[in-house]
Amino acid sequence: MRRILLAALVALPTFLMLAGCKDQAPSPAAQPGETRIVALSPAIALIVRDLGLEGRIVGRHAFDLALDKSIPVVGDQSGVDYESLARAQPTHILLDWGSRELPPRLATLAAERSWALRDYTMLSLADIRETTLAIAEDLDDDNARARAAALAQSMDDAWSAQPGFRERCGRCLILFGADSTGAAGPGSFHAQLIESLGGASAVAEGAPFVTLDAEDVRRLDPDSILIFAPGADPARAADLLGPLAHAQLRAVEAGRFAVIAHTHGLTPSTAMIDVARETSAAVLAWPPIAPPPSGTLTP
Amino acid sequence: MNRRETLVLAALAALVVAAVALRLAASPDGLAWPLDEFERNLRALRIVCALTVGAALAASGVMLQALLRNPLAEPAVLGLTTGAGLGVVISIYIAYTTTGAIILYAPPALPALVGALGALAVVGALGQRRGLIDPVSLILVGVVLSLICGAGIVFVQHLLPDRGVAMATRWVTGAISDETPWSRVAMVGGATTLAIALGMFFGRALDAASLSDDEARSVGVPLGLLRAALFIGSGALTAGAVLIAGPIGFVGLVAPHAVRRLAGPRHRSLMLSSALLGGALIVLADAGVRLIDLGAGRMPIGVLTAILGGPAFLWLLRRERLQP
Amino acid sequence: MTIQLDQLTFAYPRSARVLRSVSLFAAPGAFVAVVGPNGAGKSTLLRLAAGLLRPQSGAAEINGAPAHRLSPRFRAERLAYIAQRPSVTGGFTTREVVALGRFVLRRDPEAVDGALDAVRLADRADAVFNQLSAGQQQRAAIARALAQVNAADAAGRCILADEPISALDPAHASIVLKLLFAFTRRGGTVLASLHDLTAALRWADQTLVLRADGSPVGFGPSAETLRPEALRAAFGADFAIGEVAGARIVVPLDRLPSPLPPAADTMTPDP
Repeated sequence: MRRILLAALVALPTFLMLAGCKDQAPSPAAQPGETRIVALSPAIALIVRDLGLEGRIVGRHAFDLALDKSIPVVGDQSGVDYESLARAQPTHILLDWGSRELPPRLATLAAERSWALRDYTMLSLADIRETTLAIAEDLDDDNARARAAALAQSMDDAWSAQPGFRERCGRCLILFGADSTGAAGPGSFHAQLIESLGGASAVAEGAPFVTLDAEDVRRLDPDSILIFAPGADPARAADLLGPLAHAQLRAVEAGRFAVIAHTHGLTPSTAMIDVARETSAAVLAWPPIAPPPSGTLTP
Repeated sequence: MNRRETLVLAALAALVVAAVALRLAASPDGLAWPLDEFERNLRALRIVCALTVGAALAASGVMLQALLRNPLAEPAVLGLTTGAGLGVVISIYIAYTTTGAIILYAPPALPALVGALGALAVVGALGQRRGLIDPVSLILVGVVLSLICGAGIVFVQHLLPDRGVAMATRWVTGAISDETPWSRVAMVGGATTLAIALGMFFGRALDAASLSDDEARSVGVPLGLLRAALFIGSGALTAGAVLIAGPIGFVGLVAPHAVRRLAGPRHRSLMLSSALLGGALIVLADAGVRLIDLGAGRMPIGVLTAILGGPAFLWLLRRERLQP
Repeated sequence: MTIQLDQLTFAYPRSARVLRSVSLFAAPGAFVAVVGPNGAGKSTLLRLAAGLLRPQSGAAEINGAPAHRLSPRFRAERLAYIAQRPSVTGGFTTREVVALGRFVLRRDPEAVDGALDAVRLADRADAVFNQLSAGQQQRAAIARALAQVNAADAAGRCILADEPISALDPAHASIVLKLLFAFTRRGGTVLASLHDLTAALRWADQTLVLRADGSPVGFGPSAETLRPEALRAAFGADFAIGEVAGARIVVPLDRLPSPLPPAADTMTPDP
């Protein structure tokens, strides 16, 4: 009896696992001379898509938001899925691995199979611009090069000081998502974005990502608040403020807060062009910051 | 070994073979044998890692249960797995502050061993009353230490530039990495095999140590020495398992328990059968991780073992209450 | 096998003295009993004699050598210790538990079966030890001791038993006492703590009487040490030694006083 139960205990999960087999579209056979791209980073995937090369992508990252779901996942936060990667038969593997060690097996495999392995730096807005141009160059595609040049021009336009922005933005508290305790600090993409548009980040010290509570925010006393919440309803900005709505903040009382709901508002990539435009539009709709009452120090 | 023990051993050996076959056939597109040598090697690596980790954790569980006379003892409960993980994560952080690079693959083995033995020492020291190990205090101290070390791991990861996102799966919940070098697998596998062989060799002594302290000593068991050996053995086995796959819970609890119910409590067969069952379970879990596609990447093995191991353990516990 | 305790004194860490200057001597073939009130230190005395504890002053010696320095092998071959409350973790069967007595020794299934028969547990041999009653578990522990040292050459061996019959019914108690006695007739030594004073008087050659504070009242031939005065000094109660059907018995004298005092005082002992 016990033995039957044990067998059942083993068989049941096995059966469930088999039943859960996903039928992903098997990768079509590779044509010689074709470019097959694996984008192992959601940011890089966006750039490749904006370069017009989405059709060539054969492998994506698990956290990717931009690409077609039928493209096989070849990596996630725990590492690279080598079997899926090998089956995708890529010619180019693009990643931004940051300060982490590259997976040794990836390097050896790429060398064995003559895959072009490119690791791009994506730490600043300038890096995004350079990477966009570099990817187009590495993929050796004329259309991509043209679009890269156009994108670079858009970046230069969008990420530059907008008239009237500074007066309305001032020192801006940049928050993420509906939780509104995560804020962008110095060095983060969003702080760079606000600075390039002409504003300043209210959080002047600390790591690129900091957690704050309502008391911290009151002490910071920002002139304005921006919440980057992909997919949120911009009309419900007050709801997304959470406890800050009742914290008697100057920014809230003056109505200088907004939600940037761009789908890729949190992915530092070419999407930042549209994000910058959306941010500009939102900020320019605010009233300018009134000069402070006499007797107080301006920051 | 008596007839029942031999039968169970044979059945578990068959289970291991079945599990290995299933894992060999687990591919990104459902069930299929490896297409080429690359896939064969990759799957073989994962299978050997899984067998080693499962066997090491199960054997470590058997040793701790004998040591503490408590069937609830296992490396995760006593904080050994998180202690080893904390040692590794701290060494990664120190390397980062000095060189700026974050070591993700094949971190040095020594910090894991130091972490596991350190946790062991703390639990052993604080879990004593009147110079003797007190099973209840030990488990309590172990649980608290496990929480402290777990929080420590998250904290140290927080200090890293990417907030440890890249490492979280492996050192918080446990996952087998494809980057594990064969040399490491060989080292841990060899140590595990040795420890299991020694455990089997001292099987009778472990049986006799199930008597009360006084009775065991009078029957000739060198209790102090045996306990020291069990401490060190279980610590080393845990460190090895954590080095390959991070902290994985429940296997050290469920495997020995299930084997005891099927084959009886004698340690010589228990050691080997538990190791086989533990290995089979982790191989099956790895197959599950591969075959269950949630669309957002692979589930970490530690999560799967908890989801399946938890209810299985509760079921075993309930049966235990009906039949002490 | 001789057991000698010489002015033995012992206290557990951070607690009051448990034994004070206790002495006794057990020669080969002797059955020595230790009696005294609860908490007198009988269990501690046996543990010291078995070498499981180290005396603070005085000596506990087996064959002239300190008991706590015996090698595990020597202890296993020659000294069987029966704990007051035997315990086993895990689902071992009775037979397996009894066989553990021979852990260091050569495997001998006949000795194990013989021991089980002797204590009348053969029918429960395949039951799980932890499912036995307290009395059955005690008999199993005794069987283990017998399997350990009940060799043909009993002369060099001893059994140290901590209240071996406390959980047994009279019939089984009698069986066990006869077994221990037979062991001594073959040259073995027995040192046992007993609550049953009649059993001590009947079976033991010598008896040690302890007071509640762990100090000895006297040691010597049972008939001499088990006297009303000594028992009064040890237990603080009256006993009578008598004879019934040719056997000597020790009986506590606890009659109710007459006339009966008012209800509220019925529970107070006689002054």
